[in-house]
Amino acid sequence: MVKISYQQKPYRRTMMQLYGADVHPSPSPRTEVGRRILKEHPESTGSLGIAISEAVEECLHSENTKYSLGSVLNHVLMHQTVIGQEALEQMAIAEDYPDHIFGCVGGGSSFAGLAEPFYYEKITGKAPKDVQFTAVESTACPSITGGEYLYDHGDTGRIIPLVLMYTLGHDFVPDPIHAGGLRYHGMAPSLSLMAKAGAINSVAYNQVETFDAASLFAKTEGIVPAPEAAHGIKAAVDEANRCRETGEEKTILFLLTGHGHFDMASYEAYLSGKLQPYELPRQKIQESLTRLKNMYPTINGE
Amino acid sequence: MKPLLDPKTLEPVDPKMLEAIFPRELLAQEMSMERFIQIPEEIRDVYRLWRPTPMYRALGLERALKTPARIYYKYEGVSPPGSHKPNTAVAQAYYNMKAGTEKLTTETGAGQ
Repeated sequence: MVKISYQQKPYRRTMMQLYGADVHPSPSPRTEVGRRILKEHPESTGSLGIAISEAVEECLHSENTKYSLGSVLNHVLMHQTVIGQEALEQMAIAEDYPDHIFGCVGGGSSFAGLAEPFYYEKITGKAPKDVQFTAVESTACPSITGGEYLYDHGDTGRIIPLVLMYTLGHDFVPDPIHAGGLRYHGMAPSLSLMAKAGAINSVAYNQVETFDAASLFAKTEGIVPAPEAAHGIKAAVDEANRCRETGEEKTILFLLTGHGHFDMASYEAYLSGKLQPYELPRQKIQESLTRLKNMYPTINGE
Repeated sequence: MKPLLDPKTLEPVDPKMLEAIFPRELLAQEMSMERFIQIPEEIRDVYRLWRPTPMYRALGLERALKTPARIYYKYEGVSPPGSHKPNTAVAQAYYNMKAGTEKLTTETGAGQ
């Protein structure tokens, strides 16, 4: 578990242990890659990229052990399409159809899960509207809006092979934003391809404005959203506000990926005004991507 | 879709390398050209614990924003871990179980 999340959300760890899992904060001394990172950056708050490396290394060195990835890969996105398939039927029951679909993106699996079944209808001519899709990122980790479409490792330790995707560079460690699920340097290759081709749009918001949206949502709809999901809410709210200005009666559909019951420490920080609107500086991104291009000049050359 | 590249050779990765990490069935899904893949009954049985997930009309939010737009949201937070993650976790656990895997490692940021 990414170290900063392990510290911010201790009861998530307890819940995993209750289900029978062993949980280790990453970077950890258990793996070679973890030890290497701890040596270079002893204060590292961790990242999904690092945690992936450690989990894969642990798997490779253990008997009868395999690895399960939480997002990014095709099979993972496919599993998530149950979301969109149900949504299609539910929209039919509501006798409505989205003009615009929004969802947060970390690795992209939940967004793809909702969007792809609608996208399939769009490209096969079955959709009654010209549905638009917008993936919503954090400004602290703007893989699509701030990154480049390059070959990069799926993990920080360079154990996972190179995939063609929008990336900020595999050695990028995001600021300790509370939306831990979005703190990934890359983006699903299939979604990246769609973004590159202009089939989906993308936008990024900072932590404070998304928590503002989450607060509004909790007060009007009752559900306390997960900080990750709040990014989707913020985008939907902006679109709804646009409709108020133009008078358009658009149908907006967004994915509320989860609840924020384990994120109360984050909400506490928000309510006491301690949250920082992290934005990853252009320069840091450029440095990280330059390192990547220098590492693999032949495949990442223009 | 471009294939994964081996960083040492810059050629498409040897499937054997991936077989050490993922069971064959999931690798097949990863590379599949099929439009649809059936969901096994055993996976559906676990999905049944919380699926189908609700879709709500956000009337409260619409009113607060005074917008003419209609806002709907698909809510995945009703699953036991509280998010969309088990949709794939359960499926991956199933295919690994069928392949005889005894232990699974994974990473997590948000903890679900």
